[in-house]
Amino acid sequence: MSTALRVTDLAKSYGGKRAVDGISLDVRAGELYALLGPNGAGKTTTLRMVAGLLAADTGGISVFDVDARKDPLAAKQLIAWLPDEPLLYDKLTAWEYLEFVAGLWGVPPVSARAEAERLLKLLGLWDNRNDRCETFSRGMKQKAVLAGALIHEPKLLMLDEPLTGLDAAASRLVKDLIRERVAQGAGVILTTHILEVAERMADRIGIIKDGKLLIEGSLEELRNHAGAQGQSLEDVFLSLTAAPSVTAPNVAAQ
Amino acid sequence: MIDLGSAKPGSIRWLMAHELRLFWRRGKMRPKSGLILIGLVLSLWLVLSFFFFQKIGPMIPPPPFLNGPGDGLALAAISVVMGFIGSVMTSGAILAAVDAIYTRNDLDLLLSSPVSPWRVLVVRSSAIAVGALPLYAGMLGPPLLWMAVFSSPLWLSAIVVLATLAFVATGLALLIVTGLFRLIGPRSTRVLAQIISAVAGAAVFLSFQYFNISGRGTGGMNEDELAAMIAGLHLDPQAWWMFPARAFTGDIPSTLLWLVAVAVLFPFGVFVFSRSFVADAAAASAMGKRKRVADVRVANVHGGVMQSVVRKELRLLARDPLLLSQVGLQLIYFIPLAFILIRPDRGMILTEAAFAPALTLLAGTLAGSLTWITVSAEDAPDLLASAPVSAKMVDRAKFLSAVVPVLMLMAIPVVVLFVRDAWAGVWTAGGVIASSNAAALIGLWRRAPGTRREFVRRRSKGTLMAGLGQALVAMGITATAGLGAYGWPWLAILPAIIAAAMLGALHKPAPSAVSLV
Repeated sequence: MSTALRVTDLAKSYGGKRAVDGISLDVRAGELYALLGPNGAGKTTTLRMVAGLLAADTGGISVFDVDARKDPLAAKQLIAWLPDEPLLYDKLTAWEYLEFVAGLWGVPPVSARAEAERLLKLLGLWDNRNDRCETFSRGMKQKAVLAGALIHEPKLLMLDEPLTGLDAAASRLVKDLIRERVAQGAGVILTTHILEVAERMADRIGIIKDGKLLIEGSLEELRNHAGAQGQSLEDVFLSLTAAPSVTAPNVAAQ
Repeated sequence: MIDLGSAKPGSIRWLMAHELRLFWRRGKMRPKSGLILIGLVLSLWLVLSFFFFQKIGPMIPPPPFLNGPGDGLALAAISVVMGFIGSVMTSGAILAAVDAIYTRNDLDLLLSSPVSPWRVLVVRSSAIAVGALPLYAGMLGPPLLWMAVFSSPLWLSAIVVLATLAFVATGLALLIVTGLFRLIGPRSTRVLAQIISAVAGAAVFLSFQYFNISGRGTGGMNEDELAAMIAGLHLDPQAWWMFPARAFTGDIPSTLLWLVAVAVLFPFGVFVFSRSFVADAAAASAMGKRKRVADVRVANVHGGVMQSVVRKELRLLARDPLLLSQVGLQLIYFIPLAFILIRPDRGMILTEAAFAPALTLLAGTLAGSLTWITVSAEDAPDLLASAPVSAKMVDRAKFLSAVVPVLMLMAIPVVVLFVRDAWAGVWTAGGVIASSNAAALIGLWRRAPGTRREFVRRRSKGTLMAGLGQALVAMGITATAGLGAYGWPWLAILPAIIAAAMLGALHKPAPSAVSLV
């Protein structure tokens, strides 16, 4: 299985404070990796650096063997970034928004049209395709942004709190779409505070705190490391993040 | 400074203290340093106006002005000033009332509390009125105070009328907004109210200019002609419509009448506004949720990175009538300027050359506004920064989106000028191209991120030096075009050099993709 994302010794400081402190992790193609951590742990900062929205101080980022720091445009071609706040253009319709995103990623118009239709139908926005985004609810906006993220068929999908503001049906739909992308061989890394989602969906889980990766591995491996066999991810997470920070081992490798 | 603790929670005083605290903290400065700065400026203004009015105060005829056409003219002049201040206050109050209905902010919290909604809305409306006061109180308060000392104590009445004028303006604004809601519904009210607000702010200014443009101004008249014109206007100081001006100048019956009018109009406005507020606010939040006829068209998809960005920018501009009206308002202000420039009785030669500086300045102003909208007020910077396109390409697309519409708009007058006077046409074309490009470049180099709603206050977001530099570049290019068009090309070199040097000083490398956000 090839490596979708490789992050090595990634670091970022703000005004002397280390927001991300030497994080290293791999996400394989066809794998869903959940990045968990308390508020302010450095999850979003890490993903923003991978997406090319923030410059890293040190460290390496490689997306399907493309060095994202040396050739950011080539790396971005493979990535989709879904922020926690759905930022849309209020005055554009859902269809025009997808047309714009497809244009940015250089998707040929014929494929873009077919994919836009498929995604809008799948996400239940087809009847609203000619409505301006300003009339959408939070959930509809989230779905429109997700459609935008998927229209260029990214090989690495980075989702920051993708289920915020979605109702149960929409949430299920999004989870199905994520699974579908994983099954098609894409690497997916997501952050979430809904630990049940990570517990049920993630192939591997990484927990970060104070900018450091505390631990990573499958749920079972995390349980074993925490000595919490049979307990929920929430229990494992709380027991691991309550302890003072230590540099994280890869429990799978131990 | 504002103590909530001493007032009974939920009382009008308590709510007012809450409003004032929010108002006070709206500024950029820390409350303490803000208070010190305001105190210093006011003291300085008080001292300066003291020396000024000590000299001229005794020469100002003491009010009231109740006899003859001369007094009528004085009252008419005061009416115009009050009209101007009132229209600006009404303009601001319309925006605040619209904001209350559409964004509600903390009103949802206040109205969900067990405090009477009427009390909440009386206080919010009063806060709108009080918010309009500091500027005028600061500007006109000290001169009026010294006029009361050195001319007549009746001028103190002016301070009372000025303070209560804000409440009249607010009452009027509440009636306008509620009326619009009834007439045209929530979808159009927001935009139309904001356009009315913008036009209300400019109405008196434009009326003045109409007077000027239509040749009814007093320029060039001798004293006899002026006296004859005043007599011809038959300005009766006892006319009913002059009662606010009479109240301003201390006529006791008019002052009482004015206060009665305020005591009726403001509560009436608040009553009408609050009676339908909850329903209007609910209608505003339900906008777009009504049953609609599905639009079943499936549009074509167009490709191309550069084209996609340009298409997006033009669509966003074309679909924001409020923003367009605010940009368009700049055009309205230039109409009188253009007329003033070509007025024959000012001794200025009536030639096409006069249009060169006016159109040059206009092109730069419009391009600067559009660049701010496309570059600084980008709605989804993360999306652009995460896309596989270089920041330079995005900037180029945004540059084109701002400059091309301006050049297309200017092409018509420039071509007409060129046909009538090729020399003036060439200089105007050069000036228009240079000023629009320079303004757009400065917008790219000195971006000051904000949202589209902040368009009116966009200048407060950039640095003072950038603002001054931009003004100098615009003036330099305008002077170059003007001097060139009037046949002094050698003289035009100097402002051109100044503008180029200033533009060079403002140059700042474009930020990389990662710092676009």
